[in-house]
Amino acid sequence: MGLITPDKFLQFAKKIMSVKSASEEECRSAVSRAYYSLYHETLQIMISRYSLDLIVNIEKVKKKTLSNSERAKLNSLDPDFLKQFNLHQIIFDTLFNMKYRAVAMTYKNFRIQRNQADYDLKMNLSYNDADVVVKNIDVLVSAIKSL
Amino acid sequence: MAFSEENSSLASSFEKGELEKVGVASASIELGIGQKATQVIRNEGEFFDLFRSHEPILGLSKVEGVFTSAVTLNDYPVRPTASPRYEISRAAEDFISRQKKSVKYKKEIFTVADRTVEFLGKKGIFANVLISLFVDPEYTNWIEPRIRIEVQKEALQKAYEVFTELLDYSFTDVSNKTLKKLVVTVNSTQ
Repeated sequence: MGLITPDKFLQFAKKIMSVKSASEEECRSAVSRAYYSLYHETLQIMISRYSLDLIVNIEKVKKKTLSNSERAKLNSLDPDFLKQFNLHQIIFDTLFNMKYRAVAMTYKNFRIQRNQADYDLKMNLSYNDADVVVKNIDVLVSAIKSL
Repeated sequence: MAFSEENSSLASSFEKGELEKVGVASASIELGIGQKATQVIRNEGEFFDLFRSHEPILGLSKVEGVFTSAVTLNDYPVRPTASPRYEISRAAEDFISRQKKSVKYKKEIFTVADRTVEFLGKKGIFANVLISLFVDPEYTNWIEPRIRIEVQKEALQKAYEVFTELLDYSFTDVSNKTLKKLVVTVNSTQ
């Protein structure tokens, strides 16, 4: 089995939305997959290009002083160590503090859209709503890749 | 004589002292030649509501807290309490008021909401704007006020297209602290 990449999630979301008669559960899944594509793409870019910014923002969340062992794990952005943090919010914080405010806010907006798609069953998510979200996430992914 | 737009005009008259002291004014609506109907306004809120119109009408101007004269072209005084441009949920209001330095925080959130309404109006996007409370179901420490923009389905794409511009406009001069704790979302109405 090959290693999956973030863009596969977005491709899957687009594939769902390519069918105009997609059901609501398919539309909700598309929004969720598209957001996670955005999340992983952004996190990968943070780790590869802006690791110092990311580390600084993780440190802000970790209020108590880090042990030497924790410091080493943080500096290497150890995936297991990072699991204890709300990376969705830290990605927003990092983008925001890098002065990419509109990008940060838009990112956060899609996080909320994804939460609604997965948790708010009373909300009526139409095909058009989901299609717009997936298309706009695609645009945002391109924008974040060019940061 | 039946009321018609052609021969009608809306004029207002009031006794300045009376309005200031007891908050009661009267507005005369001329229904054709020689016919007048007088409506007594019991409180300021109703008074402002009466003059809320998209058509050029006569209203009242207000300078430094004193009502002065009748003016035209929708130059009626608007107060947030009398004509709210957005709603705020009870949960959001409670949350915001409990924050440190809540006065500035609240003021800035209201400023963003005001500018959001203004921006959408300029772009011709009809929307309901509501300040509500966002609680992330997966991270219970992620609780933030948010400005929800609800647009008609057909306006959703347009709203997204101007979203970045809207954020830039709405967040001008708003403190970083408030910005980090506030999110603006766009959704289509049911």
